[in-house]
Amino acid sequence: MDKIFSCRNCIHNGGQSLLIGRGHGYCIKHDSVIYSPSQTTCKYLHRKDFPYLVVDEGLREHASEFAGFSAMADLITKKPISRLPYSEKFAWERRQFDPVNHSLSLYHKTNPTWVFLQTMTGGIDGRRSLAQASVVRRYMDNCGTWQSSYRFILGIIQDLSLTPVFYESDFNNEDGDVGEEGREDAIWDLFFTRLSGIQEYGFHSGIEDLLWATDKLNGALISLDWMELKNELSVKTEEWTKLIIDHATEEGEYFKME
Amino acid sequence: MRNLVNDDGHVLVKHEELIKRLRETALSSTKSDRARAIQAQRYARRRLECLVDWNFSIEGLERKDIITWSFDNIQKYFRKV
Repeated sequence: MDKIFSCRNCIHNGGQSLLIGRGHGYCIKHDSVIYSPSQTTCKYLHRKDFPYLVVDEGLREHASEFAGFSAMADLITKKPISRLPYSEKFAWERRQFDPVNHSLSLYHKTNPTWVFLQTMTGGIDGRRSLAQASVVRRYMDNCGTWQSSYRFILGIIQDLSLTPVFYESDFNNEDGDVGEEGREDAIWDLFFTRLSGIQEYGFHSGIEDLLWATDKLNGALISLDWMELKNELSVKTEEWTKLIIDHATEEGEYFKME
Repeated sequence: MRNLVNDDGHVLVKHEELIKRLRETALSSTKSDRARAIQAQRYARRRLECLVDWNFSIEGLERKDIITWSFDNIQKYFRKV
């Protein structure tokens, strides 16, 4: 259960989740390689699997538990972990090059950072979609507003009903093979990362229907039946798209000319 | 271990019962509890989780100390395999 509070489940480490992503991670917040993502954490943990507002109490407690560390720390031993800057050369030499982590490591080299986000796409590639949704949520959280994020969230909504594709090398194998159940369950790691982002957008924009999007899927989510939910989502995609565009238009922000 | 839990006045909630309760919560509780229950249901299924409803008296214990206190006091009910 403690992995839920590890870097694996944090939006700052976009390329991994509890079931997705092998080996080392990369944290945008600390601009550092995460050597053991399941056993690393920090006070800035922002869970992927829930919108912040739903688990804020637990996150505050976690932050308070790790408040004495300036950066990353070991989740179990509570010892500090030194920052490890990403090196593409080192990754190639160790034959550990990971295109998703590599892409995320370029975040701090891009200025302004929204250009980085504009060039990211989700689509059916499950792991890249996980990274995109995580970085969008991170950006929205940093900005603390919906205005700069509505186009990114519109993009995420269009992909929500797509069945993602994962490659065998995408699955977390630190506890052995994830098994058939784990392979199927990985869809939900991505889905909840995206849905939580939509809910967080609902929080920033004040759009109640998005804030409690979990309640708007007519129970399809409760049975965790992907095919049933997929049908419901194909209807919701248009409804939620319209909600966001109408709201942004009313607020005078929809493709506003600077 | 199960007997020790029961003898000390705690209640073991079996996996099927836990899933049933989470499903009920996902259908009819408050908005945020419903949202939490959906995801909790998923984790509980994946790990075949059960639950122990602890019956400790934590009166006088500061909120910030509860986690450490709990860690120390529930150790005897678990065995590493």
